[in-house]
Amino acid sequence: MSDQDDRDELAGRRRNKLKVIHFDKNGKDLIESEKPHESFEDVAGLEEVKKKIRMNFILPLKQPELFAAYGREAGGSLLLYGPPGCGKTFLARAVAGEIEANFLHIELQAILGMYVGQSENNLHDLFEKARESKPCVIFIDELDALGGSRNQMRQHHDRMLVNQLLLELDGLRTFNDQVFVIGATNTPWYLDSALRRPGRFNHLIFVPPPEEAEREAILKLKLAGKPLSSLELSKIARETKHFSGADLEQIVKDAVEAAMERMLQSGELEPITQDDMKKSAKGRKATTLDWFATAKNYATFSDVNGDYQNVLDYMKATGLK
Amino acid sequence: MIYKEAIELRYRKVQQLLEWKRYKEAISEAHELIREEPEDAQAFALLGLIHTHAEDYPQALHWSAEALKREPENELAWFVRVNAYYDSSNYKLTAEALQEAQRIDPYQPHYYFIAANLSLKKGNFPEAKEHVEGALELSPENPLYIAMLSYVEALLGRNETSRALARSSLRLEVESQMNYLMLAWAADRRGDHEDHLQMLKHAIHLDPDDKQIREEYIAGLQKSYRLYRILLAPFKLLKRMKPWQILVTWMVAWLLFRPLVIVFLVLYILIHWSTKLLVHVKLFGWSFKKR
Repeated sequence: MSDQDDRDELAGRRRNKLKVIHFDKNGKDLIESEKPHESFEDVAGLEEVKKKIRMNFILPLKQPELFAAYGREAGGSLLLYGPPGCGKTFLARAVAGEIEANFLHIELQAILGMYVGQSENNLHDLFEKARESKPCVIFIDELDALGGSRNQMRQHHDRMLVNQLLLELDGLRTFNDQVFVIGATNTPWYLDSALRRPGRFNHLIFVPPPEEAEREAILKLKLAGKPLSSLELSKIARETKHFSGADLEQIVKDAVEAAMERMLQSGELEPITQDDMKKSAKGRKATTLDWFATAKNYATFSDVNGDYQNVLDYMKATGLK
Repeated sequence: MIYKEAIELRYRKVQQLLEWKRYKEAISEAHELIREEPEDAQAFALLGLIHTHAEDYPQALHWSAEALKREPENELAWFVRVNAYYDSSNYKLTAEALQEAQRIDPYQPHYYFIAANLSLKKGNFPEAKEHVEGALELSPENPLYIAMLSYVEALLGRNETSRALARSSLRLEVESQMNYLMLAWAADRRGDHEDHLQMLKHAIHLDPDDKQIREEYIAGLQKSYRLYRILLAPFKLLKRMKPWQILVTWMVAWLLFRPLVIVFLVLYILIHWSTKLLVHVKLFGWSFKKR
C-alpha cells in the first residue's frame, strides 16, 4: 500500500470523526452538525418502523433507478411521531447513520429563539448550512413548535416562520438533492396541513413504545456498569407494558436511589436487587398512556385522511383502552 | 438595559410557550422569571395564568394570590382568579372576584362574558343578554360574544335573530371550537338539528381532546335519530318549567294517563339505549371497553 493510500485512509478515518461546528450569524448560538455512528443495527426492535423507513426513504435514495421503475421517487421528508421518550431522536440519528450523512439537530430552545426576537432568516441560514455540509440530515425535534397550524397563530411573525419552513422544504426538492429533513413530534395533529403535502413531510411514521424484548434490552443497557444482584429483567420487562424508554430510565434511577439509601445506612456497597426494580416499576405509571388517550381522540374524531389509523391498530393489538 | 431586554425576552418566551400549549415548559420559564424578578407581581400572575390554562386551578389561585400580595390591583392576577374560580365551577367566588376585577379593569370584555355565563346558569336570560351586549360594546367584532348572543336570543325564543347572529359569527371566525360549541347550543335550542350536528362536527374536528365537546358530539349524533328526538320533546318542555310545575305535571300525568306514562318511559329507555349503541358502534366499532 502506498504512502498516499495510507494518508487517504487516515484522512477518511479522521473525516468520519469530524464535526462541522460553526456559529450563527450573530455569533450567539452554536449550531453543531456531526456524523452519527448509529445505524439501524443499534436500534433495538421497531422492525416494522425500520422496514417502512427503508422502503420509503433509504432504499429510494440508495437505488433510485430501481424505485423509478415502479414510479417511485426518492426524496420527501420523514415525520416521526409517537409518545415522548420512545426513541424518535435516536431513530433519526440512525437514519442519518444509515445514509452516512451529517446530522444537524434543531431543538425546542433554538426554535423558541427564532420566535422570540430573531427572524426567519435564521431558519434559512440553518438550511443553507445544511446544504453546505451535505449529505446532511436536518432533524427538527418538536416540529409542532416550528410548523404549527397557521390558523391557530395570532402573530403575523409566527405565520411567516411556518411559511419560511415550507419554502425551505420546497427548496430542498428543487435545489438540493443531498439534504434530508426528519421531523419529530409528539403532537402531529397540531401541524400545519401544508407540511404534509407531497415533497414535504409525506412519510408519516408512528414510533410506538418499546416491546417486551426491547424493554429488557433497554433495562440491561441502563443498568450496565452498576452493582447488581442477580436480576430477572425479563420479569420487569413483562410488568412494564407501554413504558417508554424514558420511563424505563426513570425506573432504573429510582432503583439506584433505593440501593444508595441502603448503602448510606449500611456503609457498604449495596447492589441493586430485583425488589428495588420491582418497587420502582410499581411506583411509576407509563407516561405514554396520556399520549394514547389524546391520540385516540384525534384518531377517532378528527382523522380525515386516516393518518392515525395505525395508532388505533396498535392500541387494539396491545390491548390499550 | 441588557438585563431589561433579557427579562422582556423571557416574558415573550413564556407567552410563546403558552400559545403552543406547552404548559410544562412555560411553567419552568415562568419560575425562572420569578427567580430573576422576585418582586414582580406580573411574573407571579403570569404563572397563575399558565396554571389556569393547564387546568390546575388551586395552583392558579395560589400564584395569583402571591401576585396580589405584591400588587393588590394587578389586573392579570384578578383575571386569573375570575377564570380559575369559574372554570372550577365555584360560581359564588367567581361572582365576588368578578366584582373586584371589573372595578379594577372595567374595559375587559371577557368579564361581561363571564357575567353572562353566570346569568345563564341562574336561568336569567334577559340579564345574560345585557351582559353579553356589554361585552360586545367593548369588543363588537368578537365572534365568540356574537355566538353567545345568538345562543341567548335562541333561549329567549327569537330564532330568526339567533340565526342571523350565528351567520355573523361564522363570517368572522371558522377556526374556534368554542365558537362552534356555542353555535351548536344555539342551533339545538332553535331546533335546527342539522346545524346543531354540523357545528359539533366542526368543533370536534378542531379539538377532539375536549371532553365536553366529545360528549356533546356523541349526544348530538344520538339526537340525529328522529324517533329519539320525538321522545325527547316532552323533556324539552319540562326543562322550561319551574320545579313545582314539573312535579305537578308528573303527578297529574301519572294519575290520569298511568299506562301511557309507563309505555312512554319504557319506549324512552329502549330508544335511548339502542340509539346510544348505534352511535357507539358507528364511532368505535364493536368494542365495549370502559372509556
